[in-house]
Amino acid sequence: MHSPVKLSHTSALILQTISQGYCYGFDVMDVTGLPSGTVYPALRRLERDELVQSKWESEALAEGQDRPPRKYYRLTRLGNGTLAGAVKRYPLLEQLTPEAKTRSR
Amino acid sequence: MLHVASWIVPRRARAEWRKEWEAELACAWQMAHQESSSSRNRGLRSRCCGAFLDAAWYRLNREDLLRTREHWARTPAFVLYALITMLLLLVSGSGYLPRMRSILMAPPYGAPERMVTISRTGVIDSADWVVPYSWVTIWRRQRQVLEGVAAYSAQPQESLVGIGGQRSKIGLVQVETNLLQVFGVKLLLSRAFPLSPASCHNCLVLSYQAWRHDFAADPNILQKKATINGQDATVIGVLPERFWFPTDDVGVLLWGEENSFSADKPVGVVARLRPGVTERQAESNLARSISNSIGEPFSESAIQVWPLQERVRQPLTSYGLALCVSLLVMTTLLWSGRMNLLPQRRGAGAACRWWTFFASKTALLLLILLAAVVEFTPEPYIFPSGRTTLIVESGSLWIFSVGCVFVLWWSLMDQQRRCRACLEKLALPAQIGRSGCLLLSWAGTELVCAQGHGLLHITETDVCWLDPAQWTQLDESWEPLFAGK
Repeated sequence: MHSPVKLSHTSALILQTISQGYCYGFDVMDVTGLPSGTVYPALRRLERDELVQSKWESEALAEGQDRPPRKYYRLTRLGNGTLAGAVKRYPLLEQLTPEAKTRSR
Repeated sequence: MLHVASWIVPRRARAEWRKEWEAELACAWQMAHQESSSSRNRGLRSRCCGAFLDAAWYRLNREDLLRTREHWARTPAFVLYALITMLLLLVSGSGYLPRMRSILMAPPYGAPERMVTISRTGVIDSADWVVPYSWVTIWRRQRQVLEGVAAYSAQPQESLVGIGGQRSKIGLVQVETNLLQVFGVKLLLSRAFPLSPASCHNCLVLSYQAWRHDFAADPNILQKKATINGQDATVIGVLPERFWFPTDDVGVLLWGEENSFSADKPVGVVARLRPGVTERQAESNLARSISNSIGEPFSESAIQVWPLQERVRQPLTSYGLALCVSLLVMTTLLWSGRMNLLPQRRGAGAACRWWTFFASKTALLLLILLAAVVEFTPEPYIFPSGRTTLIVESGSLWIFSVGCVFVLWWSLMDQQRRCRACLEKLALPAQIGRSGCLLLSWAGTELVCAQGHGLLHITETDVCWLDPAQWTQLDESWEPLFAGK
């Protein structure tokens, strides 16, 4: 049903970043170096195309860190498949983003 | 910054959008405090700038935009904004409604209630409403009723006027030198030392509109060399802004001495009555002076003294009458049940909103129509200039009358096809029944309110006088079908 989605380099980079465990918007910005005016619209498009899924983290987790709950993004099955195709298209993509150590969900 | 950016986001997504951004900002702020870095603060501000782009994506997202546009076009606010925009465009396109202002505002003359035109009566063609100049010389001696009287040539002429290298074809009327004195008007621009009538050959006064549009409102225009149809002329002044005479197509008044017209030349006449003198008294007196002068009886009813202000506002009376007739017909239609426009019985507030919208929409439409007719149709008869006739005046009246009928009909039709509860335009027309089988089953068109408030059924063919459209209210059980729209 879904035709293969062709990703731009920026969208592929964001998908890769999310897959590495950086699931919050500002974290994606920190890792990729892209401005918020690029990252957030790209996240909206990816969610619209069902490549990522957004959810709100639990209130308890947020209260434990004394901050409001944040929205995080995760790749869907379609997003994983699309990212695999993008990695073949952009071979250096895998090397651009480090895997998250403590920030993953 | 987030608060301002959130105004761009569509209302239904605004709360969640703001919550997401504020949470990210709060977390980043926390980290910035821990690191105690001032550059972090600048970084947070620059990140917030991206919120505007994100909000714009929400607003300009194609699917949302289409849905929003479709929805917005059905709302009553859209109609009112569209009509107000049309009115504003009309106002600016006409130059701020110069004729309407001239008609409605007090004229820029001294004591305008005593200014009158004097003409003949009992004729159909307005070209004959002018009088022979010999009568003007007789009336000039009439000091009992007239404070002053001035004549002007009946037929304006298109003349090539050149001033300071610029040339333009402008309507020109020859007037007597005491015209401005009779009107009690001061020139906007005038010479420090006025030229005497004896030395004034081809002296001309420009109208404000001609000075502004044809000669770029040149402040030094009085010092420049002028020509009229190739002959030397002298500009001696510019009239004030709202003074236009005898029509607003005339841009130049050519000064002529008193008694410069030949005795039998047809002229128009303006005069100023003495305080306390009525028009009837003036007519009687002027007719008597003609009789005494020519030695023959002269009917009093042959002379008409008409206040200038009434003559200028005369077309509005005709338009008002046409409007009253149209409103009477519309009221009859509503009263008789031919058009059932009563809103649902949801209280006084809903009924008030329903009728307020209908009245506002109709009033705006009629205002646009009136302004367009007054400003852009051939001008109705105002002064006896010999250029307009009753047919022209009637033409404007016919255009307004037909326009009134069309405007009221459109307003009624638009109101009929709106939801009785939310005032939104009904949508999704569906043909029901078989065309031509009216006697066997109901056939017509069904329209539905997008919010699920009700259905409107319009029969294909009227079978009785009563309103062919029937409104059916839907209860809450229908809401799930329309949820998410």
